[in-house]
Amino acid sequence: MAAFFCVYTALLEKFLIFDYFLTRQHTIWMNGMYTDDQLIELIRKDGDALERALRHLNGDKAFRERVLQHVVRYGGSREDAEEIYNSSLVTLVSGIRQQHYAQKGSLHAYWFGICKGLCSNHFRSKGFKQLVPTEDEHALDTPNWETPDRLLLKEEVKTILLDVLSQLSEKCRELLLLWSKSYSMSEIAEALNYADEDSAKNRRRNCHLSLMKYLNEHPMIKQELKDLWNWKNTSTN
Amino acid sequence: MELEKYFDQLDAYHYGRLTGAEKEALESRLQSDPEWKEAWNLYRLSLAALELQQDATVRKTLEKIQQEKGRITPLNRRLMAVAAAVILIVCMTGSWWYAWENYTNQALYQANYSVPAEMNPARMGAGEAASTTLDRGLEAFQNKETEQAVEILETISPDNPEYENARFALGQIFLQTGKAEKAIQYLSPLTGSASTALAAKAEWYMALTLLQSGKSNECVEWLQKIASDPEHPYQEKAEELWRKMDNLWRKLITSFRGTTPTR
Repeated sequence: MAAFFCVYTALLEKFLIFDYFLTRQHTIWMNGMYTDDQLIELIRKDGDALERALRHLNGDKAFRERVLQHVVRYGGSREDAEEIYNSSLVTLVSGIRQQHYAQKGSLHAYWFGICKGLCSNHFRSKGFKQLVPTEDEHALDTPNWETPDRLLLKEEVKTILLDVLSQLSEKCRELLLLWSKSYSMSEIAEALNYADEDSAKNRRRNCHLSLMKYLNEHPMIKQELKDLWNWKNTSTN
Repeated sequence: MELEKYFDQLDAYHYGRLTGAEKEALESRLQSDPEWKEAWNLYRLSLAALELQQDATVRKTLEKIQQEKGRITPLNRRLMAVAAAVILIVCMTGSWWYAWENYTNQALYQANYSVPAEMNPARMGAGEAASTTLDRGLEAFQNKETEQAVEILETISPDNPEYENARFALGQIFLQTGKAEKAIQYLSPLTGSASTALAAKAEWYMALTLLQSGKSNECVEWLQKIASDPEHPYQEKAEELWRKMDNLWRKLITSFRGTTPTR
């Protein structure tokens, strides 16, 4: 009987309290957890740090509601709002990593700006439900797709990316990913145990060249990647 | 195409490290020279691949977080769970309290014990002086002079016709004062008394004494014996008490405590 009570109480506590906080039902309490600077620091990393940041941002119910209201004003549905919200999170992370966020205003203001841009593009391109690959090889930002980053979850897209990056050694891949997240060469040298900044620079040059060569030798993959990139730019520009 | 030839210039262009003139010259080459243009496209596409890979990781993580959230029980179901839990806890607490109040050894003893008529000095008549040693002993006990009562009753010798009644009274005194072992010592021999009525009473009070002292199994043995005799004056009472000692409430307390509840 005592054991039953203990187990029941523990389960109850798990579901009602532990989960309650973890899922950010108490957004006021939870949203006070990270400053903008801390979030940026977490976002620049991968793995657990990124997940913590995303959990925090994704749990902001007030912000989600604000996006919903904005989308509804455009005549959109809740589904549209959810899609825009998700895309905005991906774009926000990308923007921070590519150092597009100048930290002049609050992170949420920047984020909401992304949402507004995505919303506007979303409804502008609402009629385009199919892929329209660009004819102009030089213009990588031709608009042609509705909700591009969702494509990133599709198997064929994952395969393209995997094909491209799997040509590199693990360390090379890691180096380039850090570099593309705007890590400095000294940070990369430290993270990947290179002797110094120059070694990291040389290694980056070689890895980058390998990647470019692979793309050059595989025109089909190159074209698919180009299309994919154009879809992304459609939504974020 | 020898990409090495172009890479450093393109890299410097990407990083904005070219001078104004160098930048102008490169941009002109990018417009006019297909090889330079292709190399620049490859440079940018390789960056795109890296960026898209990052986006895919972010999207995957986000998807995971949102799927977890989707699996979480909605608030109204949680409230129902809380309500169910509260009701369950209230019911269990209530059941426990009920069982505790009515089915512990002490509770059953108190519900079944009544002072036998033999202990009542009223049988002597109001204002009447005690005429026998037994009555004097009982009177002393009535006056809360327990030690004196025991002393008086102990003086009654076996050849006295009131001997067995005196032993019974001593058993009752010890039972009432919570000295079960001593009570058993006096009541046990009386269960074999030649007086059927006294033996029957002694058996019943033996069972109660054992109950009070926490010896449930022995108590049940006595109750079974009494209940199996249809002529026994305590047959019904014994049967009822036996039933109570074997019911679910009693088992609830016993199983929880792991021992017989004596309180």
